[in-house]
Amino acid sequence: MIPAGFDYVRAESVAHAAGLLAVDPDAKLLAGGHSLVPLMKLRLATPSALVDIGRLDTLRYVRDEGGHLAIGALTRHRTLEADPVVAARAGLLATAAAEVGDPQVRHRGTIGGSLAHGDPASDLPAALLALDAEYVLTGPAGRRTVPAAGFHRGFLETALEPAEILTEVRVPAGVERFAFAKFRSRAIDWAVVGVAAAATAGGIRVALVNMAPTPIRALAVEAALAAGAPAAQAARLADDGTEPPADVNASAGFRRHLARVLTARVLGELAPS
Amino acid sequence: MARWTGQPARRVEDERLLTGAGRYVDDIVLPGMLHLVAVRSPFAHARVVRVDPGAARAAPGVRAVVTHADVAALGRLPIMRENGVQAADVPIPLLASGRVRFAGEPVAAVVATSRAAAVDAAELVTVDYDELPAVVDVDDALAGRAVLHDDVPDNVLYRWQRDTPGVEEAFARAAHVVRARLELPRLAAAPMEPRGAVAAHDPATGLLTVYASAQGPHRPRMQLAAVLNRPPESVRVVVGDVGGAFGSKGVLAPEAFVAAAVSQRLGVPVKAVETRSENFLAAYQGRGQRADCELAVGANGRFLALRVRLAADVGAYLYPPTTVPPVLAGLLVTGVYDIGAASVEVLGVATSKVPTGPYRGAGRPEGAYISERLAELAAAELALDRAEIRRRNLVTPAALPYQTAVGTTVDSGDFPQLLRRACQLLDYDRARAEQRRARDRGEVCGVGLAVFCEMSGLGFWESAAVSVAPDGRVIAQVGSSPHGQGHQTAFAQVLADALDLGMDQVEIRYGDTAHVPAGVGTFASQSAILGGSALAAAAAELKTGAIARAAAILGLPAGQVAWQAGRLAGHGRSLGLADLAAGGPLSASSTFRLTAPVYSSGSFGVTVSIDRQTGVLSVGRMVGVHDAGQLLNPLIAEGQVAGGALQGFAEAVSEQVVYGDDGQLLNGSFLSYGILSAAEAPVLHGEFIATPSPLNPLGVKGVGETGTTGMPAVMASAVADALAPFGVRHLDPPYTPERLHQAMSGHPAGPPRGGP
Amino acid sequence: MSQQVRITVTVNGARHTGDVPARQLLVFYLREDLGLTGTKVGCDTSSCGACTVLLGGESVKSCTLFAVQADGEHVTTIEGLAGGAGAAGQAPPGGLHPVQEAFREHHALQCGYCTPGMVMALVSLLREEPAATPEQIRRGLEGNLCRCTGYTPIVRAAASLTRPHGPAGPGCPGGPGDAGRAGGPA
Repeated sequence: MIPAGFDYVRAESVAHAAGLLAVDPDAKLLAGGHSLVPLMKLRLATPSALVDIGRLDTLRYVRDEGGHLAIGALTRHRTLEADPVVAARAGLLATAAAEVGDPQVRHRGTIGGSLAHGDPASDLPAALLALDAEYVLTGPAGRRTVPAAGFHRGFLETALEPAEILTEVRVPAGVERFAFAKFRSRAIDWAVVGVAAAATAGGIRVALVNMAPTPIRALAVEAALAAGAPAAQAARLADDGTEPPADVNASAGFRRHLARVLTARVLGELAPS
Repeated sequence: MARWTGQPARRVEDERLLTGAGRYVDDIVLPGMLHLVAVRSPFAHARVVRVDPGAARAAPGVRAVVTHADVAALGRLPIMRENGVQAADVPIPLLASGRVRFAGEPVAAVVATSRAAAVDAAELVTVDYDELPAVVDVDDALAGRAVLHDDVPDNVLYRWQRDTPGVEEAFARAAHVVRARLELPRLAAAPMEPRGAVAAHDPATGLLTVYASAQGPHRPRMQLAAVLNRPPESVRVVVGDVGGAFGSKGVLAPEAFVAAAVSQRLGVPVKAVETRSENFLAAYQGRGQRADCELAVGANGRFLALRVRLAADVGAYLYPPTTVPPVLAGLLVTGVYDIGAASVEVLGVATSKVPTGPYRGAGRPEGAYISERLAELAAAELALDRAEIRRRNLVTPAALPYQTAVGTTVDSGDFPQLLRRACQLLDYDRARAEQRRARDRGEVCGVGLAVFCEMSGLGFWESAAVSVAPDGRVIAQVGSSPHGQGHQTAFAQVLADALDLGMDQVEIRYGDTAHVPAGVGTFASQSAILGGSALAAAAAELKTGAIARAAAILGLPAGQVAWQAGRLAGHGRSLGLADLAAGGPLSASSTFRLTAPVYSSGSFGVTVSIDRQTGVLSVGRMVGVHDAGQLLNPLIAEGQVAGGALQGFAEAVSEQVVYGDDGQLLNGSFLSYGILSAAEAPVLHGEFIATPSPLNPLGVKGVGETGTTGMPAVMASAVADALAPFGVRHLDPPYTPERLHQAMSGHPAGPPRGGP
Repeated sequence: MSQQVRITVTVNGARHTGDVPARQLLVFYLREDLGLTGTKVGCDTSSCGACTVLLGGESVKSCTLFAVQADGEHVTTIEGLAGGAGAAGQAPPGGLHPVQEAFREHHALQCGYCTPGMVMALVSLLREEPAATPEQIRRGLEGNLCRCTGYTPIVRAAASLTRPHGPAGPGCPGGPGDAGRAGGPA
């Protein structure tokens, strides 16, 4: 219940924060804190220092840039859920954000924090995979852009270098229809399994929540659909190439089954009306 | 006609609690108070080779590190041996000595000037363990896979038995014998407030005061006196606001006793409040009973006899109330049915887990589960409608008082009416017709029924005292001790009616042994029965005394003095209670004793549908009929039933404690233990019938647990009905999506116990 | 860099300045430093919501924030609802907040432990969704656990305050289930 002690500093800028991370590899960023603080309370995480970027309001924005929606990394889930621009331009993201935790969590948790934490059971990373988003990473050496597909490297592991900070999420325009289904055994749970799908002129992208150590695309489903297979048939391939966990919430086999069922349902919702 | 009793009066407790003015144990701050944090075993079964407190003792803010050696001379907590239970004499350690027997068992305690300092220092206590094999399965334990207590080589910590003559003959002549293995898994009580206490020894007076989150102050006082080897009168226990208990706070946590011992030694207050994780690990759990049952049935569907062999997974020790639930289940196995003979055996089996104890229902749901499942399996085997087989076997009002085959007596109830009314509320025939149509469409759906009874009042006595304050208000002190049940309102209604006063002229107090010298507390759904009756009796005595005093003052014979709305009047003159109190203390006290248990009862009906692909269960309609006799306050009574029903529903569809084979608790948090939120809670359409109990002057019966008692049975009924087309005869809860999906996929037994 | 931080927090309208350990959670700052014990601790996994307060008018779980994160912010606790904290056992000077009044009317509390968090969560929810349906109320309370009431009277109390006002039913007879949602561009 009580975290171990740590040094605390409030970052005055992104550069300041990156510089602090560069000198202390055991320091961590504090944004919304709703991935990190629960771990610290159980002493599963014991960072030497917290660099608080929570007040860098320059990282809190939603901007329609035409070809894509630019979202500051400190934008809260509640904003994603309620902002009409997000609803209009990235409805899948708004829908997924509305599924995160509960209202109190959504008032504090941030899109950047959720992505950087890298939990495959989180809702937003999979939705952003299906949206083929890009992430802007800012560090001492400058800025670079990483596609969502290459961002998650392993369980709680991302492409972020030690002193890099995720500063912006870019969601390309062009999604015509979307669907999101999250299976929870109870409302307050992380997803047992989730499926996010986005249909563009170029085809359908499907991403899975909690079916592997990272959020992943259901590539076999996408390939089958691109080859003209009917949705129900393509959905049967949803668990191809996945490594779902087994825990008290569900066995791996049940997760595979649910992935197939939910993918079929989601693809059904995607069918043009 | 009663002005207050039976009215849905809004609670007098609420304003205080709604504005944040409640005072729960962790809200208590005393000068110089220290904080105690326990060091707990990570292993389920191990020898404790060495406890090294050195580094912890030197840590900032630490005032003491306590190990077994420091508490070895303390006394022992008594085990309850009621109803003829034969229990092994296994001591309950406060801090483990030489051996730990469940993961989470306290091994040492750190006492420091702040909670943070104590948590930090607790990490510095080094303990060397030699791990031993754990045993988590009851059959493995009975086979002696690992022996937990050297004196109990068969791991049977207690036994209980009831046999009536004629069981063998009944089975011999039965047309059918229905057999079933029925199991309800362990549950976590999980009140929103974990356990805690503040122990404050005053060196100047020698008095020990313990503020506790508990179900009454008197049993904790007895326990503290026994453990600390001091007279009960030298211990004061104060129970303030309590954030729920559901049976799990009947004994103080071991850390509370250690805190008291440390407070005695250091002469300063010591607070021991556990975290939620600790509550999951180390608070005693509910249920955990497996019954092998046989029901002998005649050709006409009449139940002839019952055999039950119940193995209870009681965990590593016998805490004081550990023996209660399985024995209570044993006393309720015949349920609402007229069954002439029964043979019931209960074994309390030791396992490498935290002990079990009472949790809302405390044997009543388990007993109802047995009788109701057997009745329905009999219906299936005889191709009889499930409602019809019940009708043929229900104990009828004409048969009351009815002596059951296990030796208890049903004092009141109308079981046929409960069944009739549940079927009406559910519209049983229409539900069946809708089910046929839905099945034609390929849907999976079920209709469930259950009728049950339960015993309440099992503390068997309670005390109350009433006195007149200088301003004329009447103050009552009652031994009953609420933790959500609204006693301060419901008892005020009783008292106001007894004295013909307004609700604002009376006040109910509880929870302090300094003011209520003797009492029992709140469990077994007994407070209205015992506390209410004691209060009514004390009020009657107060009235008599007041009339006598008024008569003396007015110079009249007592017979010519009338009590009218709190004033004493005679021959045109009248006195108020304040006037009488001015002449000296005016009070009365009474103890009410129950001669036999009071039976509450109820019925449930439910329609469910199960998603064929995902196994998700949805409730269509849920109805309930409950008989709690005279209701003191129907708003509060409805709240008790609704709250209990959700806990019962949750245990049917979501909750179970899961241990690994190594004795590790696998779902010890709200992230993984299946407690339900508002989004999953069904609405219960309920109503009450009333057959007053003849065993207490108020005619009241227990209502705190009836919502829970029938739930596992009705949900099992609905699910078995839904899964019948898949060849499933019976499935134990919890009915999680995976379990239901597996049952529909041709694995009728479901995953092994302990799986999702 | 420091393990002790000076913060200024406005709580229930009153400014408080002091040094706190960086690791001190907001809930303990409120309960122990300011003596506002109405906010409760019910779990250690940010699940139960008993610690819910308003931060800048929005519901947050005060057990999942450090006090330092509330520096410069406005916090409202249960004691600060309605007209401000009243003397123990008496109604605050301004009377009870409508949510508090509705709770009493509908018997939406029993042991009272989840109640402060539940009330604060609903104050925020009803502010954001003044026309919330019972279903939306139930979803909006996913972060607040209650073990006593079975939730229905809580939902009734909240529903009595929504627009359109009226005897709305207490909510869906739901069981556990998936939350599937589909949509397209608005």
